[in-house]
This record gives sequence, structure tokens and C-alpha cells, in this order.
Amino acid sequence: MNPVVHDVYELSLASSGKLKLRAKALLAEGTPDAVFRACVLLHEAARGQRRAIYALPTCPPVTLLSSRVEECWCFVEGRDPLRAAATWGEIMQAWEGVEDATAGAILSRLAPQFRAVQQEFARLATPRLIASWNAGPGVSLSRTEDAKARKDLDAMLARFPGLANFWAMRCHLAERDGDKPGAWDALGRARQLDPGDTTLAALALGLAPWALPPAEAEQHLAGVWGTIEGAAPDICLMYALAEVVLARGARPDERALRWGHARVAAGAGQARANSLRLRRYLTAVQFLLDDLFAGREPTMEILYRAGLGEAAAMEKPDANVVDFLTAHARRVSPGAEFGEAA
Amino acid sequence: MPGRRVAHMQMGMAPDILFDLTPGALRGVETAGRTSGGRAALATIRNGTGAPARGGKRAQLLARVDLAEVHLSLWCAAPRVSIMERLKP
Repeated sequence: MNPVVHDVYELSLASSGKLKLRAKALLAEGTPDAVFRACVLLHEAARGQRRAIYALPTCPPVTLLSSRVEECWCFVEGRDPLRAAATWGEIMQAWEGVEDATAGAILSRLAPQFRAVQQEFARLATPRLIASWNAGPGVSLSRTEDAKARKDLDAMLARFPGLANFWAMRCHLAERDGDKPGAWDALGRARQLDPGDTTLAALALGLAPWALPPAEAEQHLAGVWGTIEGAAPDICLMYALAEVVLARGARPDERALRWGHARVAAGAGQARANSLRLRRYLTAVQFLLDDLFAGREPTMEILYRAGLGEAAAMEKPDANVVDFLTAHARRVSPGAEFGEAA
Repeated sequence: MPGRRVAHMQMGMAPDILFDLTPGALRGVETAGRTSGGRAALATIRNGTGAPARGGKRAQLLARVDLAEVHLSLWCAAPRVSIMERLKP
């Protein structure tokens, strides 16, 4: 192997190994906080394992299988049965091309653990919880159903705190209850488990003006502003809307600055938007900003002009368009993700 | 293993400790410990249980074509017993 390639491969594996050792120590502590921190480290270790394989110009089938097994183990130990299951599928694919005796020996430690975790997950995934999951973040269930789903969700997260998407679901339920710290904490946990998920980053931008005190919300947005030119389109959309929301209570000069940031973000998102729905929302934000800069009160009419007539028709004509866009835009990607994952 | 540098620890499969990460030609040591049971407990880990023996570490490591060098290190705390065995090459 090329010595440079070998160095990159070895370094990625070495850092992954250190994370796993630290996670083991935290799991031994056993407190809920320590277990969650271990889950975060194990998720990072799994990503490191995958990065190592990417460093190889050619990867022998047996090395690919071993790497996937180690990655899956990280998710099993990191209490994330959904990602473990997804990786298990990749193990099945990687199995082809490896001798059965070798593959069986490589899987001998993981397989029983994986099956036990999947059984436990299936037991905790009650029909009520699945129904709430399938309904997605935008759908309001009855108060009783919500309370029952929350109870099931808490039981699931107590046993499997590595489930990033279930933390996102916990955030939505807390938000429905008006529990700002609870919503922000749950979303923060989801983001720690999966820092590369742009949907979660976008959700945080949508949540920040509501859940955080103004100074902290501004700080959160300031942290994103520096990277907005290269950010994912859903992040650009939510950033633009968050700036418009924060501008509501601002002084006139600061308001114009925030609208300016929102316009840059909407333009950056528009250039990279890969779905018609997202492009329409970004267009609506651009129309909204045109009205705001011209000193006009934006109305629901901008939604029709942006191609969001169907959604607008379901809303009262005198609804606040900024609130409407913020509430609906937050459902653009997460809704799709929830549907797919379920 | 005097003089051998540990390059990686893996937990989802054997061997636990790796000295050489060359894809398809790994070198390392599989380890296991028991608090009690002595030689009999270690023999069960090494050879597996039942007839024919199932799940023994020795057979599993020998079945692996991706291992260029592998050792088996087993120990028991009470009575204090240990086994160190070179399985490959």
C-alpha cells in the first residue's frame, strides 16, 4: 500500500480506536449522562471507521466486511438500533466476495448482539410510537395521544439514547408542549449524535429564535453566518427565516442588516436547492424580503406567487406569512426524513 | 509482545489488538479473561463448547483468511492462570 494512504488509513482507525476505549469507560460508569456521552463517541468512532475505508484506493472485500462489522458494532454499543440495522444491510452486501468461513468468523461476535438489540428495539417500538413517528413533526395528535407517545418515546430513549431521530422527535413533542429548554436540549442531543446532518442543523436554526433568549439566538445565528455561502440549501432557508424573525424586535438599522443577511442566505440556498419544494420556499422568502425592504407588509399573496398556493389555500388569508413560512419550512426536509426512516 | 506497537483496538470482532493494519493481512492478538474457572474456563474459550465444539476462538481465528499473524492470549484471575498461543503463521 502507498505509505501516505496507509498513514491516513491508520490514523483514522487509531482515532476511532481511542474513541471506543473512552466510550467503554463511560459505559462502565453507567449514569444516563455518561451513557449518552459514550453514544456520541461511538457514533464518531463509526464515522472514523468509514473514513478510514474511504482512504483506501482499493479495498479488499474482507477488509470492507470487517470495517462494516466494526461500524455496526459501534452503533449497537452506541445504542442506535436504526443505524446498526442500516449498517447490517451493508454487511450483507459486503459478505459477497468473502469466503463463508471467514465471514462467519468475522460476524461471530456481532451477530448475537445485533439480534438481541433489534428484538429489544422492536419491543419498545409500540404501534402508538410508530404512528406518532409516521405522523411526522408537523401533525398534531390529540393531547392524550401525545402524552402516551411521549411516555413510549421516553422509554425508548432511556434504553436507546443513541437514536438521533428519536431525539428530534422528542424535540417536536417538547415544542408542542411549549417546553423551550426541553426542545432545545433534545435537538442538541440529536445534533451531537449526528453533527453532519444538515436537517438537524436547519431545525436548530428554526427553533433558536423561539427556544433561546435573544442574545443566545443571535449568537447561534452568528455562528452559522460565516459558513452560509457553502451551507446546505435547507440551512440557508431556515437561517433566512430565523433572521427575519429576529429582525422583528430589532432597531431599524439592525433590522436592515438582518434582512440583508437573510437575502444573502436565500440567494445562496436558491443556487444549490435540489428540490422544487425547497426552491419554492426560498423564492417565497425572497419575495418576503422584497416586501420588507420596500416597506410593504408581506401578505399570503407571496406564497401564491412562489408556487406554494396549495399550502396557502389551507391557511387563513390574514395569517402572518412569516409565521406560516417558518412553521411550514421546518417540515420540508424533516417530514421527508421521518417518512423514509419509518 | 515486546517491541510491538499497538496500532488499533477493535471491539466488534477478533483480534482485539492489532499491530499491523495492512488490509487483508492483519497482525494482532485476540484476548479474553475470566474471573474464575482456571484452565477449564480458558479451554472453553479456546476450543468452544459442545461436541462438535462451537464458538471456540481458536477455530474462528484459524478460519480467517485476512489474518497474516495472530496470537491468542487468555488469562484467569483465580486461580491465576494464563495461556499465550501463536495461531498464525
